[in-house]
Amino acid sequence: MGYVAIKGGRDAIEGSKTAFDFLRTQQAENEQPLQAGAIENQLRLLHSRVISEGGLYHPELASLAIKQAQGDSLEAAFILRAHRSTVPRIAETEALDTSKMRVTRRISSAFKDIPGGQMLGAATDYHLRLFKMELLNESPEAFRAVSKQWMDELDLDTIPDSFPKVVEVLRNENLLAPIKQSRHDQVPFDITREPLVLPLPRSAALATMARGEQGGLLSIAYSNMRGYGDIHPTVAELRVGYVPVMLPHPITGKPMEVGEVQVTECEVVAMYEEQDGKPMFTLGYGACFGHNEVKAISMAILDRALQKGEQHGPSHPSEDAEFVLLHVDGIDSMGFCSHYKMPHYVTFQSDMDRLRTTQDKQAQEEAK
Amino acid sequence: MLELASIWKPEVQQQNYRSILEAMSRPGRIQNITFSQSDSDAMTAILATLLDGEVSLSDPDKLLNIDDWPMLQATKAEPDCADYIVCKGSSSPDFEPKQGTLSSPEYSATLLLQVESLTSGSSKIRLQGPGIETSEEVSISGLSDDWLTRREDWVYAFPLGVDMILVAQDMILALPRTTRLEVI
Amino acid sequence: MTELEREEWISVLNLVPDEALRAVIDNFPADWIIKPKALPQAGLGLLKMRDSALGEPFYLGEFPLSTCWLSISTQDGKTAEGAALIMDDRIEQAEQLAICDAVLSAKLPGWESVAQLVSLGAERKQIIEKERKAILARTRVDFSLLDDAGDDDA
Repeated sequence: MGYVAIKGGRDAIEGSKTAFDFLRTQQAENEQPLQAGAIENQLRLLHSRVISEGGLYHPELASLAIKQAQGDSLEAAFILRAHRSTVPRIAETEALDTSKMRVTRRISSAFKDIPGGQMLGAATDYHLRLFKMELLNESPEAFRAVSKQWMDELDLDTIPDSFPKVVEVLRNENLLAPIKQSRHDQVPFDITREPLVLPLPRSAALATMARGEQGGLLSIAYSNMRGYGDIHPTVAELRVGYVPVMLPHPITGKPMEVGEVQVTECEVVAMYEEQDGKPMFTLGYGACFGHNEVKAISMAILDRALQKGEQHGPSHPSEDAEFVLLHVDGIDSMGFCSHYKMPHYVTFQSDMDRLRTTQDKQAQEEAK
Repeated sequence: MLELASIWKPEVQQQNYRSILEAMSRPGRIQNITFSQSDSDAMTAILATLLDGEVSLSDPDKLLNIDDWPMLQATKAEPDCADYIVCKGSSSPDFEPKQGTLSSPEYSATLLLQVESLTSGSSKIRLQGPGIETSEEVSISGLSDDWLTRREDWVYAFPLGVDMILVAQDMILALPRTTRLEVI
Repeated sequence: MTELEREEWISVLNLVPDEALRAVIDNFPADWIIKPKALPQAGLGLLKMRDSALGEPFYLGEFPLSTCWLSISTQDGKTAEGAALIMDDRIEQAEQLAICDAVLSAKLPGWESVAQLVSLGAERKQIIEKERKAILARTRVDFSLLDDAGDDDA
């Protein structure tokens, strides 16, 4: 019954794949195919989004995924995630921190004068949302102009290699609780190997949100910001930059740099509470691959909301670990959504049978 | 350029994996393992195919070449908690291999026993069970009876159990946990 | 000789153009016997981070990784070990860099050309650093102007 109808789809499926590619290439006469490098640079933030949601820091494959998925960020992240599941795990780093980050942007909305200073880096925060019509017909000369003069007349010697963290300043002033050794020594939860079964440790929440879907994280965090919650965050620090990835050299045993990953990191300071007998600010933490500020801030707010929910019991959706963690993964949620497009002919037939039986019964009863 | 013995190359490992899979699906039927005689043996070739950095290996009889350990990447473990155990078939087991748990029977040990021959010998065994149409008979030499006796206990509570692979020269024969043995 | 530590060689060598690296490798004697010390592999590394709020470790995600650890025996009886770990899918690239690591650490014949590659890579690394620092230099906020204006903005 249901299955018979599915069988005839083979040619149609092949045709559909070709149609998908036709739409990508239909202007082949006048246009150049997209190169991986162009996607990584000119569609930098889409690329960042895919690399973080895919959970695999592979800039070249992330570009390919975007090209192949024709810009669908969910689909592209899915391709990247599918690839990672086929590759063996061969190493694990020691816990890296971002104090060694090669920073390209660093701001604080808590203090003006943060040690090391504030650097806006590349951001859209101060853009006028007015069209730059000249980009519609950008000449190669205009395209090269900025990078050509980028290094002119700059004194770079005063720029340090790395920057201290703002939260450490707050901690030194006794406004934040000291770091507990028991937390420091925990073995993190590996979401790529273990299913998410509640209750979950915070490390599982951080890992899940780090590769969570930006829109999902934002919408739940926004519910908290707007009123279904009371985190009232202040951004202690938001930084973007490159973190060197270190592994031991097989011969000398000392750490060597195998490469670097771009990371966005955010700490939010939230309402103070009594901690170990003393009122202290509370903190939320967000971090992810690539340059994704809205994601990192949303994650930091949700981290704090989830800590609160765990301590006092959730009073809002954003404080409920099950509600947040099981609904923010882009691949999970888009997969579930997309599966409704698959043939459900048999189950629906059964729904129809039941409806008709109920209608018949009602008709019989009315006839009595 | 870097010289790598054939057993570490994917194309040879794929062939050997196929042989191991075939041996496991048809218990008692002999399969061949590919390796080059000059620089390796069948046991190492099987381990090279099956192991990676995420499993543990025990070699209580010291059958393996010390240089192969970093190539196999597996962590060293005591036989009682190893995922893979390599033993001489002529010695007797003095350990209790992992048999898995009811919810995860796959967390059990695979035993690889080095024997003298899989084609002739004093141990005559009749095999029955999944993968065997009626029954298979094999003659093995260099296998202590103790292994078969202890195996009875190890595989008693299916799905718990252990899987065995017997190795001689370039031949292997598998005794998965589902196979019933009868010494004749 | 380069003044960089051995642990820094691979990351800068990995910035050298492929052809330049290839040219140096091709010049090494073909009769060297190069054997693996561990299985050369391409796979994934798991990136562990420490969150700066509560100091807890967690996994940020994964990255591609190729590893190679080998030994070289030359015809005149010298031996050297070299290793490379790089964020890359290409085992061959890790293998070439591991050969460079061995050659430079034991000063096998041809080590000078490897040292030159290290310098070349180090220059490239500096250029990248400078481009990034230029972003900071051009976007540093000067709050003194705000203070001069007597602004009490929050």
